[in-house]
Amino acid sequence: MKPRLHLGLFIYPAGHHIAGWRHPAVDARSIAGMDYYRQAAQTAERGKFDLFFVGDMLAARERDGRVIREGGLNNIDSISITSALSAVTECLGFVATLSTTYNEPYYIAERFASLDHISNGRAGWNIITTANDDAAYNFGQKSHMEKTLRYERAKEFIDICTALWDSWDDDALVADAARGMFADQGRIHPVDHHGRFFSMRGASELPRPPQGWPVLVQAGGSPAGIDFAAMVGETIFAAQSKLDEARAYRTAVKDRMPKYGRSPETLKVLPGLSPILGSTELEAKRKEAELDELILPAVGVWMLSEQMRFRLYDYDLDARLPCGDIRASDQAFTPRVVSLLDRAENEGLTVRACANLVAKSRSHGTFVGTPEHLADHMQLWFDTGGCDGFNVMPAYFPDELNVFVDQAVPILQRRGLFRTDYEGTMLRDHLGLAYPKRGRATGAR
Amino acid sequence: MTLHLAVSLAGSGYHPAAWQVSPLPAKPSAAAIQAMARTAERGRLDAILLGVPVEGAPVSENGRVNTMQLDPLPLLGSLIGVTQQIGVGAAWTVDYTEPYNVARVFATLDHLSYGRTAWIVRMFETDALAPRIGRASGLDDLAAYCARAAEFVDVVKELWDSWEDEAFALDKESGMFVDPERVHPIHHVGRSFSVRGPLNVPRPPQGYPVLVQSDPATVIGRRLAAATADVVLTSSPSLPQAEARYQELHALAEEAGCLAHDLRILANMVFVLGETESVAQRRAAELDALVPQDAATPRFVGTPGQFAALMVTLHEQHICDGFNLLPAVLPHDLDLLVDAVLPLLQRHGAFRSEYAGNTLREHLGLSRPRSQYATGMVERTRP
Repeated sequence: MKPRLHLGLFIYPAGHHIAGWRHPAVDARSIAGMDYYRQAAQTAERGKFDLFFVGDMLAARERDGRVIREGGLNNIDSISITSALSAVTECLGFVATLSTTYNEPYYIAERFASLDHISNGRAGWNIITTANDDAAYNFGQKSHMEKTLRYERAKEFIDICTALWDSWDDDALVADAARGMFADQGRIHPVDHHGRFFSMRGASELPRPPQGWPVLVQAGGSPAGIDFAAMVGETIFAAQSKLDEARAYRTAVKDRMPKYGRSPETLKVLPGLSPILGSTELEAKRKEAELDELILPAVGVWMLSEQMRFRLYDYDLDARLPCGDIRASDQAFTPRVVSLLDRAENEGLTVRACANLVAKSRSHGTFVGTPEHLADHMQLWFDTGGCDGFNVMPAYFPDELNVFVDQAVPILQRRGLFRTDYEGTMLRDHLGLAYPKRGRATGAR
Repeated sequence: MTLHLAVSLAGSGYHPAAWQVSPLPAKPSAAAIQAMARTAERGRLDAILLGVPVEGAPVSENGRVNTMQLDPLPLLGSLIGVTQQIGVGAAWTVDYTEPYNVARVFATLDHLSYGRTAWIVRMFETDALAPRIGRASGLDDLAAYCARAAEFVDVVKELWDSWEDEAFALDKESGMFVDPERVHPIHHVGRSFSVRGPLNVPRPPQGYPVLVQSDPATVIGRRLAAATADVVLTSSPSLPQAEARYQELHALAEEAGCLAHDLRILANMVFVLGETESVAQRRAAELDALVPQDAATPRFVGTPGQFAALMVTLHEQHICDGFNLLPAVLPHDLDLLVDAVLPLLQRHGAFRSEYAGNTLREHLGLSRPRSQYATGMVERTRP
């Protein structure tokens, strides 16, 4: 069977377009309640998506100590949402994002083991080290932990988690009423870990999760992040908006995998993709323009400043993006920023144009056009090594998700690029990932 | 005032031998808990509580608790979409935990459930947790421990307050999603925590999710519980002790400046039911023969009629405001509770026949706290 696309739905309160909530079709009041998320998840399941993805932020979105007026809500807690949705769906996988920098491994291991049990094997963990400096102030720290240290901590954190998930032998739960033996203590092996960041001893309270381990998801784009992804990632949420960049990124990660004893097929790369669809090219463009009209310049400039870590508030909106000044600010830019700077220089983009680009999709890939052309676009990326699938980011919910599921998915299915029904029940089945053997995620497997 | 009734659900039930007789699967099963949650809602119970620590928790010969310890938080999440009105509470310890994470998760759960959640504030358990985290227990200095725990809860409440109710403006016309004037960094700097805030989730629908705490063993612990909790779960081994504890907690609440009528005291009660008294006694004897239950655990054995009468009597005698009911064997004792005991209470007007409100605070008759930042402001109306 030829390989097929994998699709994630990336939920975002009020939609991925920063002004999506202002669209007349959106019931903005509903965005924190169960019904909003249930509708999105059930639609994704109707579209046979692999997974439903929820991000995480540990600080409010603010500028200079004030919350941003024009769009201030990050994703609300991912475990809460995914556990709630697991009860109202049957096959859809769920990826929840949690930070290794501001949690304890024992608690997180138990939380994901529970989510995997509750969902009968549909859990994934998007492992992040938290990139925004503001989070530190909410956790009693004077400054955010330096990146290399964060990744060191993350590796140790994951080693403890996988060891805890492995701590029960598959036959440890005996439940033999006649002998009065519930669990066989001899088949439960406490973890004894003494490392640089953590020192702990104990076993899980739970049998091994149905999937062995929840699927390990990663989203790092920096060199440290790429290395980490090659070491532990089974699925990557990527951020390249251009095909050549996506191909280079995917190759870079996969090339590094043998170093960790891993085969490149055991990793699926899903770039973000924010489609705006219309029955004709013109209609799609009109929809895009309508949405862009709703963006207030202040919010775009704020998002751009945050992403570039460079204050653009006092620059003329209609002047060219000051790429020289930004590059001269001498920081380690993320690939997303580098990509945007290159594009701004090549195309002579203004501050306003760049702000709009970021506001529309947070500089993930976008597509505006007909469902047929979207399918072409996705097929091209897939066939030429740009991705293993996409994390779909609707501009607003539920309409834009419905359009994708009702109009784009059937075309992908007709072309044999996407499943017409689920073939397994677990997230690992959907993604074509093996049940992990016991061992360390960060060592050679 | 009518009774308030919560039910605790865990594994196969609250008798240590429950798993040997229960038809439920031994392995963790969300479907089983979800089905029982529907039963509890059919009975119009105030709340389902998950992860409630019980004195003399069932322990098997090999030292392992005989029920699966699913993390109560995702378990609570899994009940939100399969119930409509019943309250849902989950335990989360303050030990080795950050207040920002707790505030964020419970604010989220309260939004998802439209105001039906409770945080069961677990504390004093560092001895068991310390090795798994790898830090000192800190329980040797109880006063310092309680001071940290009190500060923890204060920070969580400040974070819930950091968005005024009206802050979530969503004014499409002007493009104002959030009103920055009504979102406040808390700038908390205390002995144990430094948290700048604000939270990144709007204020929970209930203002604060309901705070539940188990009755602490020490006076200093009880002073903390009376000052911070909306609901205290007691486990007194005798009636006179239960009555004394009820008075003491109310006195401590008043001492702390809280309104005593805003404190609900629910007595933990394991129950073994049978259609006749002899059936109930036989069931209890058979269970105890497998694994004896701790004699100190408050337990009822008898018929639905006797159980209903006992609850009414204890309530009238001001022993408690209601009960946290711990079914000995699931789902059997829960089914009997809902199908045979509750209708009797309802017939006598001692328990609700329909929910009067939509939030857990409304079920419990507790007021909705105002944001510390919004004195004199109009309360947001419920959806």
